[in-house]
Amino acid sequence: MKRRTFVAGSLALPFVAAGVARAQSTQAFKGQHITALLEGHPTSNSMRDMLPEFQRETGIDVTLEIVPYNDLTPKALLAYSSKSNRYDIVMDDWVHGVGYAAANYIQPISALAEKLPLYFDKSDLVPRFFDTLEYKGERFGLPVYGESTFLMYRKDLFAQKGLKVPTTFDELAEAAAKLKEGRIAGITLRGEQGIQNVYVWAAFLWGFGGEWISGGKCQLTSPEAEQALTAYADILRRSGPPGVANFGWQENRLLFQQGRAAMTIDATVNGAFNEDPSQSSVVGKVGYATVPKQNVPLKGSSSSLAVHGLYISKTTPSPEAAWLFVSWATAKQQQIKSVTLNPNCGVSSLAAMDSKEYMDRYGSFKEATLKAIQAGNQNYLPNIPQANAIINNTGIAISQALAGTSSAKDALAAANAKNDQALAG
Amino acid sequence: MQADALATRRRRQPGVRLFYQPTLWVLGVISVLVTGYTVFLVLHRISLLQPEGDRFVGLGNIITLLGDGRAWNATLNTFIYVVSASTIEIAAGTGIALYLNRDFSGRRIVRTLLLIPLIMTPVVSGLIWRIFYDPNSGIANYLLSLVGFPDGLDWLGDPHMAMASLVLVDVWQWTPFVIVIVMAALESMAREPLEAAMIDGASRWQATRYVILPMVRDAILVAATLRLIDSVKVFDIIYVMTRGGPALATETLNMYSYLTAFNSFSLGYAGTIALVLTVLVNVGLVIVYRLATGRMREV
Repeated sequence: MKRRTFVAGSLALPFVAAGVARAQSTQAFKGQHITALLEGHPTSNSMRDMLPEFQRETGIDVTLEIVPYNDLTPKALLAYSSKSNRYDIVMDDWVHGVGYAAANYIQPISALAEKLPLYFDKSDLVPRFFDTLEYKGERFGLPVYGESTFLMYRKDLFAQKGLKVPTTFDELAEAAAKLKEGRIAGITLRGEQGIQNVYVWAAFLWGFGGEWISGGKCQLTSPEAEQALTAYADILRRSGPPGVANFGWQENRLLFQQGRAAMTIDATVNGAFNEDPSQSSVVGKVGYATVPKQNVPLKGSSSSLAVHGLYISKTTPSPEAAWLFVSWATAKQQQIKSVTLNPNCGVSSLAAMDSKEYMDRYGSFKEATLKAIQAGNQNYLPNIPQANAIINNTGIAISQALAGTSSAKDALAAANAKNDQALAG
Repeated sequence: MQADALATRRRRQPGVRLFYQPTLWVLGVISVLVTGYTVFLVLHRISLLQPEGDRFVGLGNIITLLGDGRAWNATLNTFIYVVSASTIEIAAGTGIALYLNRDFSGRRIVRTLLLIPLIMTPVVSGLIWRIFYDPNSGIANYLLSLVGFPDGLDWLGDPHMAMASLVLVDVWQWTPFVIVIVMAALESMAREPLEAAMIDGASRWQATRYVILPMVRDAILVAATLRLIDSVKVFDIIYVMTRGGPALATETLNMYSYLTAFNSFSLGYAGTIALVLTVLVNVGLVIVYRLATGRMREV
């Protein structure tokens, strides 16, 4: 053997060995079958599109069940509570994930991450997202997408009226009133009773200096909460579009995309829809700014932080295979590709956010998104097992105040009493 | 006599039982199991999110329900929905069936067109109507603007309008059902009494009121009973269009039970609401049946 060949061979050996080792470890759970319950979302669609690669690489057979967000949690809970082992992996909002963790339905990931680090790269995951998925000192699942909220406004209409971007809710109300003209609403927000109106109203609650819970008691009877609800109902009644009381994410987003509202506060993912020429008439006309807040001491930021994770069920017979899928689906290669496959700006990978693919599509609001995530309030919605009951009760109060069937004070007092009951168990 | 003959025949042919008994057994066992499990739910506090907290609460759920303003509101909404939708459907359905009960060209086409709402999945019709009702780009407000109401209505967003808007969808979808049943009765009706009445000089109104309607009363009662049961069960239209909102204006007992089970995950309380609804429906049906059969005996 020539010397040069020997040196080249020696240098290549570790890589070949690593390749063989990788092939061996990826195939270690070949033949196992896992089922994942996923949320209807661009991320899940990308996972479905890329799934054959995972199956080829690992030999693990995966069934994906993609269902709408509203049906996701009931389906998961019914399967969990009947101990059916139907789902090895469940994807959900951490608002529900924390409930799964408290009920012992899902398992911590630390041991699996140590044992099978193949696809897992903690340093690549957005730290605020990764840190959110913690309950009683244990990490549950990996973040698959996350988002915050921001104020979206029509730059052209603001310029026409000579208005500056509002930073407080008072300025927001003033600007909305001035911008309302004919068929164009000054502002549009979600008003549908339940998680929809609560998701947006929480920005008002925190931005007016209020909070959800303190000392184990619900805090919705505070003057700040009342001011927040009054402001929310007033701005929509004065400057909102007709039918806003029944607006969910979809209706709100569509109205803004159609150019029929001058402002909205909603999820950062809406940026991807605003800037998509195939479905938006406001491409390039939208400015993105931080959610307003009053000039008072705040107990938390008025920007949300919603993290959706992939969780591994406690009773799965194939935890390793499930972990491989979870870590593969959240790895940077997959997330970068995911951006190109479906309109997905809520990635949880730092590399994906810095990628050319992401910048080409979502560069115009990337800075605003990162800023919102950085400021995002982990307790924006209550992250406790009783969150659903609290969101439902509060959603009714918001809906009543908006409809005018009850005053903000009375509606919140009723919700507060029910929330306290839920907290007391 | 007839009953005796039938009994004798059955004794001679024991195989006949094989045709109906298995079905009866299956239905019976399922009913008992489901009802038994519902009673179990009613007596327990069961939350899917707190599996360790499940416990026996006796009549606790029922006592909570009696003092629950939201449940009373849902009961009232259910009552309003059922009574208004069924009444309009029966009145309009019977009227249209009487009107269509004559020979005219295109009769078959009209009858086929009438069936379209009936064969549509309620979720689909809910979604379509939601688009119609959209206050910003829906056709409902466009039509109103053509007849001099440029501002239109907030069909589903105004709590005073939302219930009426839902009832309208139910009426649109299910009036054809009443028409079909009443038309079938009209077609199979003996013609002689009507001809006799006409010869005796009865006006068209008198003939309808005193001859035709009494003869199709059974069919109308069947349609009314079926519509009552169906409208109590309504869920899909409300789920798709308002989810019980705004401000609980369209939350029926069914919707409240669903939200309690699948949003708050309190199965015990959801079961209690469902059981109360079942009891109310049964009581309602007994009353309707009594009224109907009482009236029928008078005829």
